[in-house]
Amino acid sequence: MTDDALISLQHVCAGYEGRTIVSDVSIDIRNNDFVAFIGPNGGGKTTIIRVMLGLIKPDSGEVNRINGLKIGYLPQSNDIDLSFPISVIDVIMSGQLDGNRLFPPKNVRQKAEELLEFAQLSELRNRPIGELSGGQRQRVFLCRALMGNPQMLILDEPVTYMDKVSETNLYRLLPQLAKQMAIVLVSHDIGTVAPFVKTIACINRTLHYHATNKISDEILRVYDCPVEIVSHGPVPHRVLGIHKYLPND
Amino acid sequence: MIESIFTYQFMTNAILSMIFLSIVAGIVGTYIVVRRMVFVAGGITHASFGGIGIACYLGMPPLIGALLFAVLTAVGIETLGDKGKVRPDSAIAMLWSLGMAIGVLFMFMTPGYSSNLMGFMFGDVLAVSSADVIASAVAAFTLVIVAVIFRRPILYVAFSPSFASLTRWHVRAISILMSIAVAVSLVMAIKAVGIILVLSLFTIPQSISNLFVKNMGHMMILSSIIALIGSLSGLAVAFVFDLPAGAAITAFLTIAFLIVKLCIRK
Repeated sequence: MTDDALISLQHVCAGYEGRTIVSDVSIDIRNNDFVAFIGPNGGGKTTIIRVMLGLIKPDSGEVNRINGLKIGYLPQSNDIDLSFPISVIDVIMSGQLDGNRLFPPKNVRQKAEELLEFAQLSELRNRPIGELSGGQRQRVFLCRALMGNPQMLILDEPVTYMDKVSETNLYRLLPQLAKQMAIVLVSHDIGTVAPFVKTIACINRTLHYHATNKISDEILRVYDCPVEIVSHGPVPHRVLGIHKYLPND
Repeated sequence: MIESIFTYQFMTNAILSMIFLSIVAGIVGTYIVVRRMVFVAGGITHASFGGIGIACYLGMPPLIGALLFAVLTAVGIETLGDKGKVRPDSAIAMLWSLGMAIGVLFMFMTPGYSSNLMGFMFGDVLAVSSADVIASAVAAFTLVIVAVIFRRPILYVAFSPSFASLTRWHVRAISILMSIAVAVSLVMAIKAVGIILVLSLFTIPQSISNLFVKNMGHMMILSSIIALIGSLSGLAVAFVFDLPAGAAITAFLTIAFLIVKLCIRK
């Protein structure tokens, strides 16, 4: 573990019920890092996230965290009961990392209000969570993840099932947050996230770290999947990567 | 008419019992409904009949046996839910029918108790004793205290157990505490409204209140009020027309739900 790392994984192997999903994963996440975890579905992105969060123990290897590391977590949204009677501000306040105290600190509502303003959701504070659009809901869950003033933020596929406008509304909040904390952004859409992040970690059974946000041939080879690439130039345009397994090849 | 109701001790006990049970059902029923564990609650209630049968056979107070079976079933379902190799709904169905089978077998072997079968199935709020009223008052008071003190953990764990565990809440402990509260509350209501009808008091007022409020705390309060109005109205109808009280309460609540639902749709 390097001196400035918040969390360090060294030669980690992990999986479920004896089945190895990822092996020999080594990565340090430092303060102010903004790294994208990209890779195909089933490649092990979420498994590594779960190891970082301490939800599963690695089968082998080492995980070291700085003392009292606070991690904010934005899970994939599809495990939420949308008919649950809970307001937006209550969802955000549930992110307070204080499970050992029954009553919240006095400033908890004020902190939640600040986050609502940051995410441009103030007028929705008393709405039931199920009445929000998918994009608004994800911004609420982002606020919840930020409630405990984390040093590190993990976003697991935050824009799944979202339209492009909602996606942009969420992503444009991230550069400001990246100045205050380390961010790990999990995505299978390399093209969309590359412009936001500083570095890229490709995960497909193991982890390849690239200290840049440039999409190289090597990244595409590891990624091993058809991807949508956004090219940067004077005129916005998109090209699709060619899949090497196309039937007509 | 109202004065004549209070001249009977059994009627006073019935009214006080329904007041306290409405508070219990409002709080615990809301938890059952929002966590989508109505089938679990059905399993706990019916499994408790096994305890009633064994208690009758051994000459013990029936509700002690019911309490024991209900708590064991509730904690068992909560604990085994994640680990078991059996599908949770199948496991609940097995415990549900096993409890009923044990209850019927032991009732059958107990001389003179078979006639009580209907009483446990459909309840008899007019047979509630002063001791039962005190027990339901203690349960209601305790639940209000628990709901106020543990408001946040109960809400957060019910909404998203996986996220709550990340924020250092003791999810398993809170879930088991609430399962015990569910089991005790359901058994408290068995004597008044019976095993078969008890779920109506723990689900219909909550479904009505959820049409108006979208906040768990408000839902608990409104459900208690609706349960109280429904049960007192059902009780009055039963008294006037000499009908079984539990069935009258269930019918009244169901009709109220249908009317409210239709009015809101318009």
